[in-house]
Amino acid sequence: MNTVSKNTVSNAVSSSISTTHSESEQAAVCTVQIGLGAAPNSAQALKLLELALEGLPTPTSGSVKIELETGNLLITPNVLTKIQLLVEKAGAELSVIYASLPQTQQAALDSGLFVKEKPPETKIAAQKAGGLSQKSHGTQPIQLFNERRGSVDELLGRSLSSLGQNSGINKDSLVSLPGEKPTEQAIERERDSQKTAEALSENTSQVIQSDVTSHQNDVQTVPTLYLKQNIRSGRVVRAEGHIFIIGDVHEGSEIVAGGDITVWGELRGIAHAGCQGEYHAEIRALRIEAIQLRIAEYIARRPDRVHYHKDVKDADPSRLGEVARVSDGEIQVFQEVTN
Amino acid sequence: MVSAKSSSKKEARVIVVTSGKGGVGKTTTTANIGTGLARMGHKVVLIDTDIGLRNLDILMGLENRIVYNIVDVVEERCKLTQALVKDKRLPNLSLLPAAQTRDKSALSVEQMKKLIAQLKTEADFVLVDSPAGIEQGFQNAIAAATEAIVVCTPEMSAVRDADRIIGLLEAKEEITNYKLVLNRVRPSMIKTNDMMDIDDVLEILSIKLLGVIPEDKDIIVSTNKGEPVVNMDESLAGQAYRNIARRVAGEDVPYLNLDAPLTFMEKVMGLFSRSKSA
Amino acid sequence: MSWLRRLFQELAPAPITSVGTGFSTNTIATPKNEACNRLKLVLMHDRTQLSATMMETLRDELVEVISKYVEIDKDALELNLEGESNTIALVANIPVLRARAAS
Repeated sequence: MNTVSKNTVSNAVSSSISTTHSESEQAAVCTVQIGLGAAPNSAQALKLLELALEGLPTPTSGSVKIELETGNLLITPNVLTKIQLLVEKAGAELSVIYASLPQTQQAALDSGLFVKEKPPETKIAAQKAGGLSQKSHGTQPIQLFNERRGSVDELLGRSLSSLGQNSGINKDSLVSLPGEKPTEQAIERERDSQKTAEALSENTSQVIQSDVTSHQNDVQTVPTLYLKQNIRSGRVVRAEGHIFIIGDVHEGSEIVAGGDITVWGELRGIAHAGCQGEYHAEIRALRIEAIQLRIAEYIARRPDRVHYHKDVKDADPSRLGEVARVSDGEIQVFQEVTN
Repeated sequence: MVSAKSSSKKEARVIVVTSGKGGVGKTTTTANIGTGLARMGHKVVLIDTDIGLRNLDILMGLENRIVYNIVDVVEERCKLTQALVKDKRLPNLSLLPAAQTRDKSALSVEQMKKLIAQLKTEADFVLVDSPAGIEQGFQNAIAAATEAIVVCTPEMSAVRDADRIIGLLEAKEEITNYKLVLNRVRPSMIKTNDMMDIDDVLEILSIKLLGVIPEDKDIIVSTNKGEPVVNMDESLAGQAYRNIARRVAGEDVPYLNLDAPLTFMEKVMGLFSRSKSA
Repeated sequence: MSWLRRLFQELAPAPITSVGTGFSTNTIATPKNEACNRLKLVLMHDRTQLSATMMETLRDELVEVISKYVEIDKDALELNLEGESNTIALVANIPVLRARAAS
């Protein structure tokens, strides 16, 4: 038994990496188990994996087999492809994936991996990913057109009827997407938003930012951005942590948060929660009329020219607001109602 | 007479739609000529260069499908093909949307030239919707264009601004061909001598006519629907735009007869204004 | 009902033919003609890039130069830009009172 743990990482995500391989056997096959279940999102998971692979023993002969434990972590096909690439680069081979989420299981099956729900003996401290529970508060989800960012350009051309059903995921297009690598994307975003902020600070300030120091910080530890104003067209509100807005968010504006987005008002612009890969992030508003909702890599767009729940407002006085979250592999909007 | 359809080797014609004055119908004209050309089977790309105040997406009904925009492309956050939004109906028509959360300085003339050079090889027509004004945004819009469509209404302010624009287009030698689209024409007002007629405007601007669009409530209806009026078969403005698209493609189409019969009141008023001035 | 139709035909204004035919077109003060005339003037100034103040200065300097040689009626002096389609002319009408005595 050999345990690798890096302080720099566990600092941020309190991870548990345990690599096990039987040294007693001088056999050709050496099996290593890596746990990623503690990572809050796929970006961190990838980082954990990278570190774990660095500390991998290099056998003189034969191959190294990796068993990946993902716990409750949602792994999308493109993240899985990245994982495979990383493992390959380290000269190892991915043999088994332990996953409890059906989406992750499906993704793994699709790429021809051996999938099990749980490792044979629980030697890994499978922490629940730091996030929100997924129980649905509402009655019925509101129909949105869901897409993944990667396959969006291809999907955009499709007719409405076919968009109604949740589409299959094109793995190739997902892989080829530039800026998709969560870490790089995050760094670039940060740099970009800082640049914009600098550029705009002289005249009218359009970009509001919370203190962006390190993108490695967990969303929970970054202060929440609180704004009490209407967000009009052309404005971008960007923050590492959660964003809380009291006021309406107009069409043509963009709210981008590392964590959750909560709007005490009507949300009509573009909202991107969990922009650094946090799948459990939620978007809440008194009314969600958003032109697009994005959570991590998921994108849902408003149906064409249909104000799909205009009537609900008057018809149902018990409704409190709406919340959008990733559920069953797509973004769904639920109505919160008083009981 | 008809130009070759989607010949793969020929480069796209790059046409800028511009006006100087705002609100005369540049974006409506871009959307409708583009859709008209696409209906004829040409491969068309529409580019919205009105960064910060984008509208072409609304007119095309594509506003909820935009993920990336022109600024994302030039700043290399995505590939060009990812930013192109396909039309709801016509697969050979796509839109490169402007960024709403940036301003005109986010784009340079060089970047625009590079971008259009990429598109040129893949389309038959590249239509560039220019912002109002003669500043950076306008310079970007005309950067790579070789033809221009000047949109104007029969109003003094619009004609004056169009004259300035035509002067700027004439000064740019890459632009070999520019024509006028006269928008919002009210035949009844021309008849009663209350509005400049088409010949007045053409003479004052000394420019060739591409087409005349009558004032039509269908335009407002179509904007609300997110469906260009060119797709409305029974609309007069739609017919006018279909004709213009055919002329752009090289066909010889006679001008539409916009004359609607005069109403009684218009006749009386016409007589009244004539006797007053005599 | 033919009398009614006849009446309306008479009531209807004569069809407008293109500008520039016959009498110097835009003399009748219809809104259309007003717009044309004003526009032509504005555009002439735009195209020559002569502003109203520059015209004023030009006028003053002209008066100054000409007054060296002849005595003129400064108030009756007319200075206008005139033009047809693409050519523009600066036309001055200067009433001369008397020649200055040679100095």
